[in-house]
Amino acid sequence: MTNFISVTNMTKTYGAGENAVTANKDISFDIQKGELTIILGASGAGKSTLLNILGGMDQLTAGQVVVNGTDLGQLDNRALTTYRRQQIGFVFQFYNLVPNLTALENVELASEIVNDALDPQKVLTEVGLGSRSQNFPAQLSGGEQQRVAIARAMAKNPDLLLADEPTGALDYHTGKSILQLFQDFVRQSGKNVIIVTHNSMIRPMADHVIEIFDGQVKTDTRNDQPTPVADLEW
Amino acid sequence: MKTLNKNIRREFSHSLPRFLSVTALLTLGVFVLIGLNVTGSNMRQTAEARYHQENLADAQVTTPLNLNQGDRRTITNLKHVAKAEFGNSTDVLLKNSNHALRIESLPQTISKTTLVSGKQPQNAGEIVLNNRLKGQYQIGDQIHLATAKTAGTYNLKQKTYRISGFVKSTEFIKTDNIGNTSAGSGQLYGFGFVKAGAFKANTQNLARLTFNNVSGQAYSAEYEDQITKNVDALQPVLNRRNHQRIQALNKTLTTQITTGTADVQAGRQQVQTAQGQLDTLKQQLGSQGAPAQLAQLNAQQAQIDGQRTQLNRAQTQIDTAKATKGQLADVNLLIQSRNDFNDGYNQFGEDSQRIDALGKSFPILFFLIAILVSFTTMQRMVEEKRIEMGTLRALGYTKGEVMREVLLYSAGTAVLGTVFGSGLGLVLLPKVIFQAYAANFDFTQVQLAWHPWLIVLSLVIALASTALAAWLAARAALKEITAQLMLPKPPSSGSRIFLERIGFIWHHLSFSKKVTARNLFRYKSRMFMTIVGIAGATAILITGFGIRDSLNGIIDHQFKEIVHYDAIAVYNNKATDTQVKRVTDFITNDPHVKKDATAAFSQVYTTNGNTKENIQVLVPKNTATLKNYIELQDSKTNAKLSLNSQGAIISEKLAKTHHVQKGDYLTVHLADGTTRRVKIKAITKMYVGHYLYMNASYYQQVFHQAPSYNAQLITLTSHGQAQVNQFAADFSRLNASVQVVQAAESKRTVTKILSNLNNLVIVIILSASLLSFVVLYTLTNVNVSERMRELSTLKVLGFYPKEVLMYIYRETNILTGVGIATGLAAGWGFHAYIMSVLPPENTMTAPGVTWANLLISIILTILFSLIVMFMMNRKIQSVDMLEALKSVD
Repeated sequence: MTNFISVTNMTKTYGAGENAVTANKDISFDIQKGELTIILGASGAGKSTLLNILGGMDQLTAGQVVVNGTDLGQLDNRALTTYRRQQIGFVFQFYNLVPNLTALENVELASEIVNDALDPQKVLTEVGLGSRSQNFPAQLSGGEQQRVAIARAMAKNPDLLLADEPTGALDYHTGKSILQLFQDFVRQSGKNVIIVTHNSMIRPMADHVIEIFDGQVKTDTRNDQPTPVADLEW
Repeated sequence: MKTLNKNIRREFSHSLPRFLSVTALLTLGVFVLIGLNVTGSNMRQTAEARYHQENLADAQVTTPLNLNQGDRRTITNLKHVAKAEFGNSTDVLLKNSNHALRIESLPQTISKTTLVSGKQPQNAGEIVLNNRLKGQYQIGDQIHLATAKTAGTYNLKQKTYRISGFVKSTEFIKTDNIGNTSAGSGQLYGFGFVKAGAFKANTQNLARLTFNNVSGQAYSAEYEDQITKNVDALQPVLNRRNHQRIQALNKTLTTQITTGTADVQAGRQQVQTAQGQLDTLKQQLGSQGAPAQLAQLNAQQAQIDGQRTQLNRAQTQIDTAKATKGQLADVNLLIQSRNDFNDGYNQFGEDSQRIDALGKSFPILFFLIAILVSFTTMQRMVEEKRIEMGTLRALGYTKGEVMREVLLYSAGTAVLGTVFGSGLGLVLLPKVIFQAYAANFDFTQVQLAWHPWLIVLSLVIALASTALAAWLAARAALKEITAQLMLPKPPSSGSRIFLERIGFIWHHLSFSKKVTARNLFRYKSRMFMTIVGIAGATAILITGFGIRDSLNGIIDHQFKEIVHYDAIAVYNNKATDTQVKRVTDFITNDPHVKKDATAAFSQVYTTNGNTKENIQVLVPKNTATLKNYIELQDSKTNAKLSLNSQGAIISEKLAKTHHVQKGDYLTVHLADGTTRRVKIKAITKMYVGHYLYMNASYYQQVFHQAPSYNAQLITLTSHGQAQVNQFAADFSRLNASVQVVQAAESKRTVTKILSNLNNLVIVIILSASLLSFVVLYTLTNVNVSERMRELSTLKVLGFYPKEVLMYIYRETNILTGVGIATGLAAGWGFHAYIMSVLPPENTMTAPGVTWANLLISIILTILFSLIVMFMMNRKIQSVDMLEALKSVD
């Protein structure tokens, strides 16, 4: 089976000289097509850095990262932007919706710039917000806002959807329904989702768990029988 | 506490661009406020120091006839006169030139001169000249003088003087255009002082007065009002004295003429009889008379011839006496205040008041913008600090301690802005502006002063627009309970805008345009602020450039559309017949004169506050040909106007300043103060000068006498200054010539004002440019900082740099566009206002601003906008999108 993502001896260092901080040190792993991957680690372990590099938001210092055939190390800023634009969907802990745009418009903001976008209204309906598409972010609850953010990421029809602590600001039930969205997305579209989290309780839902500790890969385990999110407890 | 202070220090350095831009805004506001408001006052202070030092006369009494003992007694005894000093003044020519010099007896106590180099004249053969002639002459040089008129009277004893030194005098503070004269080209070339003894006896024609009931500085209302009162009260007294002396003189002349004529007649009779006898003798004697007899006859003939010559001379004297008698009606004894006898005094005052006028309008606009922008910026800053303030409160700091940071920060900008602005405004601006005036007035340096009240006022306004704004915002924020304060403020929620309700427009907008439209209305106060800021700066730019356009426009309009003559040559038509004939012959024969027309020319005045406004009264002999020299056209409809007996045609500005309209009456005064009422038949377009045009019959109605045709309107073959000057000089040599009024004179006045305002205009344009730039920078900076998160989101989504920039800039560009458009309208109005207060009293403003000016102002604003965009682009592109997105704000 070909690897969708392959990371080989990747190192990321911030700053230079005495102040240099190495956030990722000699990391290697592979991710296959259609996986729901969870990158697990305590805060400061370097998992977000890894996610940023995978998402084309940051340049790596050494090694090689190939996503869907694209060698990220070879891309300049402009090409990285194009990569983000066409292939990546991003979801954050804080939803980062544009407050002055309605839910639908926030999704359109993303779908406008890609070539093969999905229909924004349809995507909103898929995440369960079909009836609230004309509301502004301030009129939505946290969970609803995160759904809009996910819809915005999905509407770009990305090859890879990245989520950085997507449930960090949400309560248990809401968090669970959000995770459900991700799992459904992977199952239905056959695309890849990578979720970064410090919450080890959700690891059973993933096809593949990579644990990061102190900037390095601690464990890299595959799970042939992922648990449906509904059955998770934490 | 230490840590809190550290935090405050850090805040200053972290947000240095914001700190600096607010400081810069306030600096600009204070600079313009203080600078424009102190300069006029400093200029007057500078002048007052010299007036005081030289004891400049409060008033002068002048007369075309020399003052006799009775006149002097009357003047000395005038009410409120503290001291009167009598002197001589005469205008002569530098020998073999057209240069006119005014030579006066050196004043001892009033209007004293200031010695610049050398010595005051030590004896009757020495002279001091004005300092500006230093380049042409040196101490020890001889200067040779000549009478102004060919064979005219010469009041000085000598024709050659040794230059003993150079002086300056506050009676002549203008450096060029020192004064008008009937000699030479009509403009004084210089002036000089000799000892009183250098003048012939009984030639005093000037009295300088100081009053004991005046106080206050020169140009102050207190001083000027009192002087006007005094002069108005004293003129009738002098009129009575004048009447007396004219009557006496009239009597003497009449006696002289009667007895003279009788004597001459008797003489002629005698001569005729003698000649008859002689002729008989000659005939009787025939050709064969003895040589001794013949010689005796010849001697007798010579005697008779001699007697004849004497008789002719006596006849000339009688003719002159007759002419003099005819002119007695024109003799007056005139008292004039500084504003009237001292042209430079008046102009310097007007120039300084012109800056005052600018100081009352420009700073308001500057400060308004500065206040709006810094107010918003400070409030924004407090909002950004919410969580920090909440945290500090939660930690147990008092409200005062929490507020200290924003208060120090905002007060810091106010204090710094006031310090910089005051420094520049108190020192730099007066110096820069005065530099232009120093070229045209005999003052070398402007006196600076503190003007503490203006500094205090500036500080109060600056503090109100920063510290007060910050305090209000902080107080409002701190009222909320601490727990709420620590939560991010709910983002300004989006809302539907009006445009969305108009479906057919909204649905046709592209997505990005919808976003822009929504964002435009999201921050209404900032939208308003940006538009006002840019509009204001554009308006100031337009006005700054427009001042120049309009002043130049005055000249263009005046000489292209209205005035077609080059000069009015005024002569004494009551002089002896031969003298008058010489004048008319001269004009007929001068090959440079293209055409001329006869007119009656005189002056009347109206009062406007403390200044007398001179009005030139022109009565053409032939009303039909007047249009070849002056095109009278209705000020509103441009319809051609013609003169008739129903009333006078008056110039536009005169009508405007006296608020009179067609059909109204205008009250004018003759030189001796008597009043006449003139009915206004029409108002004619005229940009420079006050004029009354009437036909002979209406003149007769108003002035109760027929017009005295004493002037020729002259159009020369070429209109260059040199030729007009040459004509004036040639004409002035004629005995009967009085004055050449050059049409270009008004051109020079306006040009001078323009050159005096030059530096000021440049300062205003530079300040407006800077203001426009800082406003754009500050507002865009706030906009960008506030929306960093949004911009980062766009970057993460994969927006290209240009798309990210345009996301913000589509709005900014629209606001800039609206701002410019509003600024055009505002600039139009503001310019019109400035041009209504800026030109001299007798000058109309040419309407409108030029396209070039509008274009330059627009292009400049766009240019600043682009520079700011470039700077902002760097900031936007360099932001770390990850940091911005992770934090909660």
